[in-house]
Amino acid sequence: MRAQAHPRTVGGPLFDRTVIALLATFAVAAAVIAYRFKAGIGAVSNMNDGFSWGIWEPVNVVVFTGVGAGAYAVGLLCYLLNRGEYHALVRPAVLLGAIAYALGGTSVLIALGRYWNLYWLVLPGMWNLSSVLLEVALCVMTYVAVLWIEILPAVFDRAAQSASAKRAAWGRRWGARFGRAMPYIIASAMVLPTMHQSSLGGLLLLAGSKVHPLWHTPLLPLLALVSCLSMGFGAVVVLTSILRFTWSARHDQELLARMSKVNGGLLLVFVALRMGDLALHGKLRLLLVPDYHLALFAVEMILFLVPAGMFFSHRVERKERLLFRAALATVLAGALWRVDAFITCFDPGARWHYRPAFGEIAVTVGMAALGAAVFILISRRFPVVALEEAHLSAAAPPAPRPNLLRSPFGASPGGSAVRHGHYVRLRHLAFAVVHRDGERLPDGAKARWLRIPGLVFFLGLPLVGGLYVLLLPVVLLTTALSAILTGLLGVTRRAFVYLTAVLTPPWAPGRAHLAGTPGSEEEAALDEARRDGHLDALGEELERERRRRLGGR
Amino acid sequence: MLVSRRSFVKGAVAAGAATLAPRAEAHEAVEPLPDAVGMLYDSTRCVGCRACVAACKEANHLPADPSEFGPDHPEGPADLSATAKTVVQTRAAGGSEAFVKRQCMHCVDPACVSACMLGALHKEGRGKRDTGGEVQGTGVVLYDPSLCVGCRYCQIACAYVAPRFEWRKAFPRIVKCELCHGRRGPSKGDAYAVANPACCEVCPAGAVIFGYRSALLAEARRRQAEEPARYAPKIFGEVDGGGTQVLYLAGAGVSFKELGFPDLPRESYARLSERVSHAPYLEGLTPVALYAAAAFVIRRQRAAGSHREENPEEER
Repeated sequence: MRAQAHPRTVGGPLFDRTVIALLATFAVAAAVIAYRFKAGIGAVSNMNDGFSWGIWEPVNVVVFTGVGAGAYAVGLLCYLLNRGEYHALVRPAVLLGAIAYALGGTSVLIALGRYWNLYWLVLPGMWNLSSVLLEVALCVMTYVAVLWIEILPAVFDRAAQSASAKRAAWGRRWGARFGRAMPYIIASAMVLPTMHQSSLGGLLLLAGSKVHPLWHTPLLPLLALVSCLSMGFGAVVVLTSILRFTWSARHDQELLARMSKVNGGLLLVFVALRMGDLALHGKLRLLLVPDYHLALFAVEMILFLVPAGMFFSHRVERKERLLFRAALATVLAGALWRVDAFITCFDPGARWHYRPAFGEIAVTVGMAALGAAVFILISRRFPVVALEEAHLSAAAPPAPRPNLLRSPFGASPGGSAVRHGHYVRLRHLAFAVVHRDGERLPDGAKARWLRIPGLVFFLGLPLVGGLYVLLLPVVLLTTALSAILTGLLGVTRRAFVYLTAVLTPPWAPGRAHLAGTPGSEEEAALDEARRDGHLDALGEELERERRRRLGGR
Repeated sequence: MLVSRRSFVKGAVAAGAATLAPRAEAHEAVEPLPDAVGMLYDSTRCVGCRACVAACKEANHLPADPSEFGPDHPEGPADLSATAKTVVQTRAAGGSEAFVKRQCMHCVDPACVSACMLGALHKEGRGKRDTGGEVQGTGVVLYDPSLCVGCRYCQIACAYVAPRFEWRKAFPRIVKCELCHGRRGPSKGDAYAVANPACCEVCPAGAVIFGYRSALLAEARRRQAEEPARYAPKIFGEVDGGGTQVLYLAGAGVSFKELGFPDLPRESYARLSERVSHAPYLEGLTPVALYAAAAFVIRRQRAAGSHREENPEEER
């Protein structure tokens, strides 16, 4: 722990514009939640018996806790593998984890239909030890508590820095006492996520007939564990970058790049496990079925592989912006894998459809906003974030902030001197190649040229092209065919139903009928006889059954 | 089967003591209980009168929604719902149409029971709690709302989407067929002493009958042997997803997929899930060992770290 690495309170006004906007977003969610408790879950959501978790469980719990796994991932590196250099990352990661997990837990409370029965969970005698969800619930509940306890040193630190001598002494005394207990708390903070993060993936083992085989595998728990670590590392890099560009937090590019190499390895392990599992279970042929499952699978694979490649590139290692993007991609990759398994590639049957309602989205977004607001509020008053020394002197100008979310293509006007690379003009679909740095782009100053990053160009284009070639004819053909066929079928069927209704007045469409419709008179007579025979047989059956039952009593 | 609080707490305490003892409950392939009761539905006999649907509503005090039930709607409710524990669907199958009755399948190894955190859904005679008044060994999947937290994991888990949820209620319940467990008559003897489904009682065509699963299976086989041209060779529920206590016969040329049944492996998903999720725990040893190892490593490194902190140049 170097002196300048020590976390400080950020200070500043508590309720600035950002916080107010975030809290206002949450207010919408709060209104929806209040209405949900009055009118039932169905009143604010499109959840149905087929998609009974909607987006709340998969996103608010499974994805939020994946993001919150940063505390777990960095903790593993820092404490178990004894890489003390990562210590500066621990506190923000733990706060992020504590908030994400607390929000996940709160979302569960909102989503539970009969929340008032939850108190049974504290009685071990009531537990059904077969239940994967029980494991998740107990572990997550305990872990939320552990995470907030892990935050406590920040509170003691704050007290120790206080002007009042009494409070400072109290903070120092309890900080020291707490420090001795910390190893045991941290140890549980390592074990609990290992258990519940794998179980979160294991939740879907039971739904084997509903989850698409590209996602359903006995490896689900292991995949979930690996992917939560990678999401966690990604989230920590994203968080650190955002903190740097908003509060000039201390930011050690070399450290983040080194940690991201671990993440790159995890991403590759995930992909290897998944592909190996597909091969082992003879599911590789599913990769030849061009449907939206395959498209989503391909997008996932790109999201896993591209950042893995980027983390090992020297250029990304040095460039904050590129590292940030790669880390963001890993978070998205894990999130997409989870959402696919729980929602988009979850198929409870042909008659079930689900699209999240406004209320559900409002709650999910509102919860995320609340999380961001709480993070800001806590770091303003408690020492969580390690700040640059420069920031602490008020006179220092703010550090330059590269625009993180600027388009990765970076538009430049025509005629300007630019770096070498491939450029595209979207309006005209024109391409230009600049061979040397400083060469000028073609066309007038009005033209806007976008640079295509090399990695995207080399990795993305063949993939996109391949997918395009693979999918387009099939998609076009099936869409056209199904449009024509359903149209034709609908017209013929309707015409047929009306025609039969007119021609055979006693036959009412839609009524329960025994077997088909009589065609000609001959057939009708035959059918009548057959049916009589059938009825006779039924009568005999009934009699037999009745006798059997009467005898049985 | 509302349980009195006293018997409940007693059960809880007993079970609590049981969990303290190491549980050597490796999840073996589940065989149907010897006294398992169930239903046999014969699609070729069903005439689609929906008397069972009406009787079910009456027996379970479920409201009959006029928009889906009544003289103007001979088809009745289209699907199971919070107000319909059983329905009869008309499905295009085998080049014609076939009826199929739906309700909870009362699986031999139910996914919903494996999923349920507190055992609100439990299999009679297989739970670890002795819930007062339950006759053991029937294998009927029962619902105890006093233990249900409404997490709906049962709905995610059930391959047949049998449990339904009261979406529009502030204090909702799960609704599903319990084989009219409440209509059982101990004096009636035989299988009727443990359950007495109203649907089987009213069926005028004998299309759905109630009895011991073993007897029903024998009956289904007998019908198939007697009229092989009339029936599809498969009995759904015999082995599907580990087997169900409600068995289905379909007409010749009709596949169960057409009748809306999922394609399930022989091993129940409950078994797969418990096998995969329990294995790494080694009866609870792994978390304890991991915790001990982690605490040891962290403590030692803390001690080493505090030495280094005194002269920070050494670090990195």
